[in-house]
Amino acid sequence: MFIPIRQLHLHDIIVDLVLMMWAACLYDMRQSSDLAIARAVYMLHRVLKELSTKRLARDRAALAAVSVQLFPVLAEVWVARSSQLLAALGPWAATHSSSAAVDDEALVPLAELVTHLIKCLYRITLCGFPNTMQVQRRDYMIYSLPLLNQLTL
Amino acid sequence: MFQAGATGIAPADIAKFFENLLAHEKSLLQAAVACGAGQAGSVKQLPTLKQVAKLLYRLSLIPVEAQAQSPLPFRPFLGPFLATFHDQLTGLYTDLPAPPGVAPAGAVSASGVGYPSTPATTPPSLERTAINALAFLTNVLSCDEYKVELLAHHATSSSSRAVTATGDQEMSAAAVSEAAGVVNGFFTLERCQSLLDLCIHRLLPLRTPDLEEWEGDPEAYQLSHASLTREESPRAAAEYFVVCLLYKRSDTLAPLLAQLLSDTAGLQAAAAAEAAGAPGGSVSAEVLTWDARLLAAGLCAEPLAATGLDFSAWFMNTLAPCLTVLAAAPASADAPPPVLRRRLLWLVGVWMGQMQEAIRPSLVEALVQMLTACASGCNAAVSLTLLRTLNCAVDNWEFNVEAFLPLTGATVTGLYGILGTFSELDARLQVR
Repeated sequence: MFIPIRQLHLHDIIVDLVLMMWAACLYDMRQSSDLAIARAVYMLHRVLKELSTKRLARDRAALAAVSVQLFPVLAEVWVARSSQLLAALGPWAATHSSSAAVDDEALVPLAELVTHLIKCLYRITLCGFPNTMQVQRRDYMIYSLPLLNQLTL
Repeated sequence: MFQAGATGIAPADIAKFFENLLAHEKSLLQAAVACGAGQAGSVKQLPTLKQVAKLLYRLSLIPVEAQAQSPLPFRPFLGPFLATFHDQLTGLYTDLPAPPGVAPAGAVSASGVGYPSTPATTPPSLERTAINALAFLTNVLSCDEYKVELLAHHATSSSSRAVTATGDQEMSAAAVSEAAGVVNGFFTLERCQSLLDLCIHRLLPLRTPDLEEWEGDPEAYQLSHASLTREESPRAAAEYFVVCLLYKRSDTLAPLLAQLLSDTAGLQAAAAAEAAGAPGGSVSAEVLTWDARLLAAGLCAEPLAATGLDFSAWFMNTLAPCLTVLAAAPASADAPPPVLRRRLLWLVGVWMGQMQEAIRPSLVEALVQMLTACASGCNAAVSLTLLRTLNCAVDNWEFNVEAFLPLTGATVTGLYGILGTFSELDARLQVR
């Protein structure tokens, strides 16, 4: 049955989708294969990218809500995966400098995963947090604003 | 569970995130440099290195954007990121050979085409990271929130709030003073001098891919380079940085630049070298160095004028003889790109407002003569620059209409003639 898009609570659907992705992502970080993790993070990146371009206050509030939950998890996963990449890059560079035949693309999936993680963190850090000063003044309207605005002077 | 406004991120977690960001960026760049060193001389770029370059760009983008959006809350991280970006910038460009050379593997990217905005970094493909480093240094230098003298413009007497594009932000005198202390402590005189030297002698000079592009299609080269932004070109980013640097330390850097420009014999020798350029020959290094110096002079007109540089006298004594030598050189289709001629014409246009009224009519007459000469065959990059300079002269508030009337016929004839030499619509639109 065709449902006009205006009758849907679009932002609720987006929030639900983000949360589902986040839950899947969190689950996959601990349980699933590297491929599943890469796909979950990629999906999360695409959803966050869309959500961060929203301008309506309600959509921004939705992004702010999920950002609080996503930030610690993503930051932790990013540090772990980035450390893994750094640890692998050293021997890889040494092998290449010795001109030995090595698999050039062995580290590409891991590097792509870390790139998508940092893209997610970019969206969250720069678009996903409300301005605390506006929260104090008008708690019914939350704007998503840079993470650093959380810091008090 | 996810209630709006539940901003439960501790400042310590934010600080830890940025510390991790800094540490991982440093380590990744070291790894990329090590990989690039092992890959020196190779034309084909490894997929892993390519992906690491993308990752480095994304990593460095976060502090750049965060500082731009929240300058004062970012101040605890200013010092470490300033030092890191400075070291990255100098590290990526220190190994560059003197112009017009490029880094060994940097001339050709993975696609087999030169990076559109040279100079290339060492190792290659880290140009976007270098652009981010330049953008960060530029943004910090030009940030009003880090200037104590501008505090009164942001915060009212009754409140410490400042209205910004990203919402209200707290702004206290103590915070501004702390940030200003970090910035002034970092941009010492010696560091500013070394950065200016890096820009003028490494980043601004044209490189082999630029000259090849120019030789291939002068018109397209001129049009594309005129529209480059600092987000896509290391050289354009360096131009912005030089301007900010000169304004920040105009008291010491402007005299330094004026001293570089005062080498009249060197400029005349460079002009003579370009005029004597053999067909099929290459552009000499001194020509490219002077091109970069004159570019800096045009960019930093105001600080230079504040040092007492008399542009009219400089033009009459130095630039005009050089232009005469270059204009008298025989035109040849196989000649190397007229780098200095184009730059001198551009500089005259930029400084047109500083010229004394007495010499403007004769200058316009000389420009019209060049236009007539260009209509019969000239490098398209020079023609486009000449049109722009002529436009600056005519658009000037003190333009002498009566003195120009006798030149009207020659100008219209020249413009009509030059119109036919362009193939691009954008170039033809310059004839107006």
